[in-house]
Amino acid sequence: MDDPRKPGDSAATADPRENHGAAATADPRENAELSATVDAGAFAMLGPVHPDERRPHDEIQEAVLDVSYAGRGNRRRWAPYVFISTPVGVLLTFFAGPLAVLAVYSFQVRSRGGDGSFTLDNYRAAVQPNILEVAGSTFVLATISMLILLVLAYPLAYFIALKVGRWEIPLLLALALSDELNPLIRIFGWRTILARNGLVNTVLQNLGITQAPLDWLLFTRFSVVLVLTASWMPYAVIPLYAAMKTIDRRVLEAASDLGAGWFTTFRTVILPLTATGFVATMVIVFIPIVSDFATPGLVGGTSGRMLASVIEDLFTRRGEWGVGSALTFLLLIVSGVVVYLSYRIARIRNLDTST
Amino acid sequence: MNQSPSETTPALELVELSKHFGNVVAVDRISLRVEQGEFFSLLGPSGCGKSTTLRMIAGFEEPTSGRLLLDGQEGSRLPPFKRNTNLVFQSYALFPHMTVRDNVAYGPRRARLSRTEVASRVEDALRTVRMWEYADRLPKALSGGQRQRVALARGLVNHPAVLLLDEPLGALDLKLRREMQIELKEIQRRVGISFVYVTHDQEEALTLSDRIAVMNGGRVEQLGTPEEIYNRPTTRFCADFIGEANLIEVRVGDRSGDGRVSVVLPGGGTALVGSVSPSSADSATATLVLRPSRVALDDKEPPHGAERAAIPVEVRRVIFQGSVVRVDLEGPEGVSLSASTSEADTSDLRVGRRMWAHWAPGETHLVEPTKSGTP
Repeated sequence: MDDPRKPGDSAATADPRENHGAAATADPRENAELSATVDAGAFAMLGPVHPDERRPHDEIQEAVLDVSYAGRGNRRRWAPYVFISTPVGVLLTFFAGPLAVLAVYSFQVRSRGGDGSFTLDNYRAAVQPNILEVAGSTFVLATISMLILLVLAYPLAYFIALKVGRWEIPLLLALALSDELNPLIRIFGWRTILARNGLVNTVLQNLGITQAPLDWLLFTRFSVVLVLTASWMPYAVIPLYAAMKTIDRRVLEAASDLGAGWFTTFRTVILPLTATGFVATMVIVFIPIVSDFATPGLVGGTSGRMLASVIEDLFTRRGEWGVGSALTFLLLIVSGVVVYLSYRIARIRNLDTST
Repeated sequence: MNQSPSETTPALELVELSKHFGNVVAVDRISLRVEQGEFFSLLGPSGCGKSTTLRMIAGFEEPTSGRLLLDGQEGSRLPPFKRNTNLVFQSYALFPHMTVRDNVAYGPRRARLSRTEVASRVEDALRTVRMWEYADRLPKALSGGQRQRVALARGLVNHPAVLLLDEPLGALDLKLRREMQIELKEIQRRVGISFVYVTHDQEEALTLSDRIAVMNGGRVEQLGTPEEIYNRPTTRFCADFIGEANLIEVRVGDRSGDGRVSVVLPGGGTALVGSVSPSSADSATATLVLRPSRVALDDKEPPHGAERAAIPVEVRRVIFQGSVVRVDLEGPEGVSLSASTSEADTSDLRVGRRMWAHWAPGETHLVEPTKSGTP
């Protein structure tokens, strides 16, 4: 701490202590001006903390912080909260707020001229057998989609992160670009491919592989899983890619050198070292798949219905805001449990490596 | 430790092994044998092809041409996980999510050894490197030297035909490196496994090795024991790379019948030389290799002849280096050379002083000139 101060001391005040006092009472803008007059090495001296209280490795970090909110002690303490108040405010207003409104709705008698009094009827309506059935199929479809995504995304992320060399960035951009396409356009694209007289059926029949068009391609659970998987691929690959990037490729070579084939290397080294990315991917992909209403609505038909389309239906067509809200909350709770469980599994299997 | 080559199959044999990366020739037709239980070093500057050679032996690079025999079996097309070699990485490459014990047990488990066999081998290996007490730690809780030991144990535990070490001490500080050198040599002697050791540190190679291959530009420049390489360098590169050397361009004079060669030194004096490398044979000019430690300084002109060769010099610089003092000198025709002396009192060696540098002709060697042709 002392050495970098020296050139600054001569430029400003002789005694470091005096200097410390001056900096503590001065206006931050004054400090900024002062800092312009002394050399870069003296930035650290602008901070109000006494040199003896500092540890050496704090220096660089604090030098930076000092410039950003140098000034009185209490200002310094409040500065970070002021800084984050805007994003927190936005979140509270536009996310937590509507959620709170929905929470209130879910306990009120509202629809069809209700008086707004407290009730649990909405929740009772939300757990009726026909909705539970859709819920069950939703979780089955979402789980299958998520598993397929993980199986496909792991090798893709592995190749992009460690194997393709100079194609790494172009491939990542292509992946990001594929998500820029409007989801509706993309889903309609799938409809033209999978339809009764669509691309797949035409090709199959022209090649003589099938005689009649295949009916199970569209408006089935198959099409829902296929489109969901294709739509959310970038969201599965990118967190896995980020996790793979942190693996030292020498470690993979070491595994190979010690007798591990590719699958053993994956199971014993890659999977544990990307556990955080694995859990992140599960959460990032599972939640939006469960709440996706466009895909099941447009390619699901009747057999591929999912919970989110039921909720959409309740709000937009049937005006059952109370039941819709109740169902939304139940979905939120179950999703939360899933997230928590996947996190626990990663912990229990000691996969959570923060090294 | 050296066994005579004819008795046993070499642990490793390279025959005309080459590796090209596009147009770049990284390794150019190198051939060598590593005997059972031998400590063999590949020594050279960065980019000389030593690491590529090691990676070919380990199986991470496929040779462009040539043969690679492990325990007498052709192995150049085997993937790393099927080879009887293990590599100790410069960066250690320990599995960060496994304890020391699991790291070391990784190889034996892949070999499907029984639980008890794995446990006893791991304990053996960890005791050998004195890391048994740390078996339950994660790598991140270890120091650099400790990680190095674990990496070594992780290789040794598999009893490989050859243990490959890629600058394993490169990341350690000097003092620790010296300690580890001695320990490494000790461990190698005890376990009797052949080591192929890649380093750019000539002192390390001289200290550790039974034999050294000095590499430059993808080729082996000289192959021999540390004594041979230090005392009788066969090329200018080896003389310059291994230890300190004065390289003096000379004209080759008499090649008398008894094999002794005399050269014309700068300034016109003549001197006999101790040995002549094939690289300088039949050439009109050559480079005289003279170790600074063999150069003595005197005020009076010493008697020339078969016992002593000398040239007049002027002191240019005196550099105190701790245990020795290096004196940089300038001779006739602008030739510069240095002498190192361990004498305590060098206060009379003032810059500009005129003296005589002299040496025993038997301690010099003749290698090829700077560029073949004129010096």
